[in-house]
Amino acid sequence: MSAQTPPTKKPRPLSPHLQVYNMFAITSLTSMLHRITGAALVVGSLIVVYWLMAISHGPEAYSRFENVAHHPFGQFILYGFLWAFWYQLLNGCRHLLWDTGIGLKLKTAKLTGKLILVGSVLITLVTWYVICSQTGAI
Amino acid sequence: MPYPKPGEIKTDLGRARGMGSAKSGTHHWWLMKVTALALIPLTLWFLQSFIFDVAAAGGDFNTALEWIKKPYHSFPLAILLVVNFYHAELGGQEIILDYVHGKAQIPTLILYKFFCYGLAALSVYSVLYITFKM
Repeated sequence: MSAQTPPTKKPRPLSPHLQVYNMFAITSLTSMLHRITGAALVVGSLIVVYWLMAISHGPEAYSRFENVAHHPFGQFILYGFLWAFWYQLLNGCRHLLWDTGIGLKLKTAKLTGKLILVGSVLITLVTWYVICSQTGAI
Repeated sequence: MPYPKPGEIKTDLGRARGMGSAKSGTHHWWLMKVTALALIPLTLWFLQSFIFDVAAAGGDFNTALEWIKKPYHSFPLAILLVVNFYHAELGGQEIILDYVHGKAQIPTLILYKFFCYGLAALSVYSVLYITFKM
């Protein structure tokens, strides 16, 4: 026993971990997605930085950016980025409301979780429609 | 129970001291919330302006250039970028603390800090360069 280890009194409570959680309960699923989309948005921010750098480098660099952005795979990444953004925004608002004490009842938290999962997809589709109609793609 | 070693003769309070802060424990959490709140209007503004003012006008080089050169675009854009990468730094820090342990933890935290602040500096510099030099 090292000098820093306190004498054993009783087993200390453990914080919940993967083996304890039901990972696909709506509350833990939304929590995991919040972290995953957060990490994805950091990577997605690189696209915005690339856009700015392409502009500052001039028309040739910008046309290379456009080629990447208009490529089907680029489009897939961009719309994934968009969904991650909407998800994080909606669930972030849910967290901010929780901080004020609103919506903490399990029943309410499950309902708002489902609304956010469906809502983030719907808003992404609406944004996609608006982008397509604005750019004349449809 | 065996005799305690010299370092173990401590009260509970004595053991807890130095193990964590009693003054700025909520600081990280609070900054996370403040930056999150600021990002709501900033990101929504950028998304709508990008769709209706840049993409709708063709999204070509000149449109993007002229869009950024407007002071009422470049200023909030620079603020958005700084707050975004600050928020990213705070959030990523929590992920690293949860999943990276041992000797690698502090170097990972430092590298991630460099990454986020580097990107913030790079993107703000790009906005300033486009606004004043192009």
